Amino acid sequence: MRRVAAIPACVVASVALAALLPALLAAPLQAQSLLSTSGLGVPTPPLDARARALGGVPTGLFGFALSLGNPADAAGILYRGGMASLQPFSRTDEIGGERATTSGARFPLLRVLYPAGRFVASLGYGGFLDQSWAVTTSGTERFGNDSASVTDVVRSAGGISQLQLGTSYYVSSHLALGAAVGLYTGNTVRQVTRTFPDSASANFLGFSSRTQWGFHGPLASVGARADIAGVLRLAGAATWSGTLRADSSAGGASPRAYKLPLQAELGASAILAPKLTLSAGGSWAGWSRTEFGATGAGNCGPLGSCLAAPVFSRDTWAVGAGMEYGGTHAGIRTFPFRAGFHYAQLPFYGSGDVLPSEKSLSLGAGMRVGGSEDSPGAQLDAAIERGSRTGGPSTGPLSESFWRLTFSLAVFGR
Amino acid sequence: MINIRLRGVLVVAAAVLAAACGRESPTAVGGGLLPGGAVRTFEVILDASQFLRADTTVSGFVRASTTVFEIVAQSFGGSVTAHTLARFVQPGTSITVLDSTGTSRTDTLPHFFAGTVVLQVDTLAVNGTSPVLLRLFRTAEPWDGYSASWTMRVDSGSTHLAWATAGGTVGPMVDTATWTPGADSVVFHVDSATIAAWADTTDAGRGALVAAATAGSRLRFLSIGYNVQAHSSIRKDTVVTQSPGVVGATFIYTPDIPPPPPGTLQIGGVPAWRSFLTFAPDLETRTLACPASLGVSCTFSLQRATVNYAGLLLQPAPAGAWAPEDSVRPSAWISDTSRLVPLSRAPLGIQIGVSSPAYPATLFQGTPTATAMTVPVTSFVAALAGDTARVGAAAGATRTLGILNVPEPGLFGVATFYGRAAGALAPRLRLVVTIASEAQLP
Repeated sequence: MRRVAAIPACVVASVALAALLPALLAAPLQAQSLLSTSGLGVPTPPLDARARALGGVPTGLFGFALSLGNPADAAGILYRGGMASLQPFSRTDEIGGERATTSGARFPLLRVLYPAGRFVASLGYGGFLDQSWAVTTSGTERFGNDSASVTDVVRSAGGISQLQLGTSYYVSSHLALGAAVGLYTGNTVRQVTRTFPDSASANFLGFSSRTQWGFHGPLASVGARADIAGVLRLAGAATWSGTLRADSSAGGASPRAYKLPLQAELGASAILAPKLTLSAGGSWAGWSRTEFGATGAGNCGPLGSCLAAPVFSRDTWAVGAGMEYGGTHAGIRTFPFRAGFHYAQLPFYGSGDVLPSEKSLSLGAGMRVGGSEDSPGAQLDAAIERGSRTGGPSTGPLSESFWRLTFSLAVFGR
Repeated sequence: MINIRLRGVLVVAAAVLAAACGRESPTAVGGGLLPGGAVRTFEVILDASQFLRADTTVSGFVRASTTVFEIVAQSFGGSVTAHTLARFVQPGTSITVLDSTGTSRTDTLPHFFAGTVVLQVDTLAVNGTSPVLLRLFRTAEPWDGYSASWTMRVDSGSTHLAWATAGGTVGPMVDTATWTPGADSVVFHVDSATIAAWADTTDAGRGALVAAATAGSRLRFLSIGYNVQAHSSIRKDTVVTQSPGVVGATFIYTPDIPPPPPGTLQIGGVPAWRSFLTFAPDLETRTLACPASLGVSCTFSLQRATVNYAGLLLQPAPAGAWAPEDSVRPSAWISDTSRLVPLSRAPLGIQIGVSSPAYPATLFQGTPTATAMTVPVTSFVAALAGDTARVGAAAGATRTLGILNVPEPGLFGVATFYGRAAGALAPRLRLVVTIASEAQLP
């Protein structure tokens, strides 16, 4: 294994700090989909840019992979370091013949690693469920003999992330094991505001209400990775999750508790040619065990009905596959290219809704500097996805198309 | 080399990461994904019994000498008579003229041979529709422009001197003039003897008094001007005009403004009247029913709702002879009752709201009109309801509002409106409130 060119530890520490700072500041993750208005949101797998480019294959990739899905995947990394992913997106929603485009960005994955012999300890912070969305509506309210235009904004900001402390063990060149424990954490603020844009009602005070929850729940994960004959890699992991508690932390938020699903992730890669690899994988989550209370439970305000629609959940599959070309070399730099396809079912839907799902095509590229394929000195990856989602009421379903970029930067030192 | 490049990449990456921390803009579609009718705004009108605990009216604020207008009246409404008093600046003892050679020279011996007193009429006031005969007199007794009243020429501190003739002791009449409806000024001519008398600063009784001779008249003036004309001793055919200005002006009137009739309140007048409304202590906790127009059977309290707007609806009442002569602009102020002093001495706090536009004086003439005055008190009611984060705690410092006409003093007459004991005509509180469903997790 080739030694990486020297990178000072202070640089690595800086990257690690930069990577974790957004998590420490609890910056809200941004909405990927209006479908996150339903249930607990939209799953946001903690995948890096390379996995995204390969169709969202969560584990079992040859070489360097830092997605959080399988704690065994970090085995073989020789140098301490950190990585961060950034995911800007642009989305166009179409429902009921109306279209609107919005954009945002999120941090799907942040991770630091510390190898010690055959062990690699890691601390990761990644996405789980995104609950950020905002909808604005305009209308007219009549009061007495007057009427006024009103603009309402219902905004949800936040989500649930997972903080994992894990270790992987490099058993042999054919086998690696891993385990992790962690917490689901995060918070969600839901704010309803009404303003009166008419000049005639310019002296009207606006309306605003705010509810907030803090989330916490345990998780534990085990995983394994096997290499067969140097041309095939198989990997799998299972994640157990306890009860997610949503505690009221502001306003009239009523506390809730949810059973979270057992999750399984599988992936495989095969070397088709010296520089050509095929990867495929998927994940399953038993969301059907997650039950939602009767709508209207708790503090619903004077109107007597809560701003929460009835929600149902289902077990979901997400599958994907992709090809990676080892690319060209320039000195110690390598430039791989990737393409993939991804399909995922989304777990939450309303009564009579079209069952929500997402699919996308992806392209990606990377730049590896120094080190080896399994343990680079630094790696910058990028993926671009063009996809669509459907869901929402069957009488007027929501159709989304999106562009999603993912950038991952990993830097390692001695 | 790698270090340098990586440092650059890290800097760029850090900048990108920092730039990514923005909020997503709300999308204009997707409202259908949420339950409808989650936010409702509606109107509620509370009767006096529901929001008003007490009301009263107090007089004694400001004097006639501080007004920006003057009044002349003769038996207006059958009872109100007012005279205007003024004292003028002494004309200059020299004038500047051009001599026959065109050279500018100072003439220290000018001869003031004529002058005018000009009353600028407030054309926006209710001055009547008939001509008014006015008379200009010299005053014959010393008088104090700050404290003079109908009966007292000096009424300040320990000095209390009555007029020999109530309404102002006058000397020779200087001139008469007639105001015709629509005219914006009235001009009196002043002779040289009067100019000399008004220039004699050793005479404490110097001054002018303007009175109306037409019964049932009332005129409001914005200013009094004094102009004098002088011949030059250097060049006899040259006439120089000076405008010496006014030392002080005031008006005196009879009778005093009476307290409002039972069941009514009033604002305006000189000295000014203020009305005080004390809101009920349970206003914000009182359970109120949603209007039927909402289509939902519900109740709420102001503490559990957002007050978007609150306005006091005050029903004008006829004020008779004291009906306001100009438009009325009621304003609501926090009244600091915490110092346990009488309302007449309670300082005003912040201004809560002012009616806009002003209400015409005709609302207070004749029979009660259907139009109620609205005084916005949104921040006050919102603060009582607990929304001090947006409107500030000062807006709800007390439960008593002072209602006054602004500017104060801005009216000679008073604007009268019905109080809490007036049944259907009593003050009402118009509220526009918003209630909403709580956003909860499923």
